[in-house]
Amino acid sequence: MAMSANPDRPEESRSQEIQPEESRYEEEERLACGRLLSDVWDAWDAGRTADDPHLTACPHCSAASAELTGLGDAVRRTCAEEPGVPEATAAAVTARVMDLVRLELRPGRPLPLGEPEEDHWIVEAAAARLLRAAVDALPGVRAGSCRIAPLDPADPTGPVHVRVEVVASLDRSLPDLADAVRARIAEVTDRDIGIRLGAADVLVVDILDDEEEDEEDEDGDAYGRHGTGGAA
Amino acid sequence: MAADTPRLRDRLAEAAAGAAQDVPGVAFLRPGVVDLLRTRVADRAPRLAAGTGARAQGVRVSRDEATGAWHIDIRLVVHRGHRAVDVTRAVQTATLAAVRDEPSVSVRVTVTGVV
Repeated sequence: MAMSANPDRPEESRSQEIQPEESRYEEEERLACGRLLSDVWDAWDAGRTADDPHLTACPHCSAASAELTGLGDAVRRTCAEEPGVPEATAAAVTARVMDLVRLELRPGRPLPLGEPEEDHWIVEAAAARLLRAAVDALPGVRAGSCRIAPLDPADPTGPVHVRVEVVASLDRSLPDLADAVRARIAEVTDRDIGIRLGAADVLVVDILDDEEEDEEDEDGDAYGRHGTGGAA
Repeated sequence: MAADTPRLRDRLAEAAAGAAQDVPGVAFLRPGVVDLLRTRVADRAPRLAAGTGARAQGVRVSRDEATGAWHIDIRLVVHRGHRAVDVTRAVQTATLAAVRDEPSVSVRVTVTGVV
């Protein structure tokens, strides 16, 4: 039995020149403002667009969200024009089409599950959702964007590099908090998913101020960076 | 031989889909846009939609014309609470068992979602 470790989908590898995974995904997903289209859509899906002022202010991000809305409207209109389709069916069809379009077009890069010689994968969006949920469940932490990529871009079947942004309370020191987040990521990648973790970066991008205290602008920049490159 | 290939491909796809769907932890096989369009066509012209059909959604079967080896590509959504790699390994084992009459088959399993 042949076991290919080539992450390219078979139909693509036959019909076109194989491109390095990294460049292909990067070209597809990043908007002109630097945000990832998948993150913008995720925020829109979760109803969290309003949480991030950039998403509504940025013309690229708001256009990307508008395109998604427009596509949904187009499907709904097409359903409505079909004679004999009950409204409930049309709504269900619209929802299903939108789900499929999102999955089909933006599943994120495939990440290697198990051992390098196995041909088992999990798309980045699915793994990231599990990691975000696990980090979010930690006390005093809210998970933001989570990106997962091969640690070595030249080795798509190798260990992965996780980069998660969090908003943290000041109940404990940020290095301690970053350590706790990294430990949680190490646990979930191994026990719940089965991807090999090479490194985990935790970026504290804001402070949770549950008492309406304006703590974050003391140094004019709430963007603290902790634990870069630490192997978890 | 050549005329039998599409039928064999459909049989392999259905066998793989059936085996994968029964693995604990598999929520459903993920239909692609192509599957969705086929379902849509099926409403109007069932004859045109014959083929791998609804049972094989989420499974693509291809054949290396040079070696005759089959490749089965399975995309699925797993249930939360199941370790993803354990599910994909069980799916691979079940799929290979379901198509064991074919001498050369490789299987790729991709988790596309968690519910």
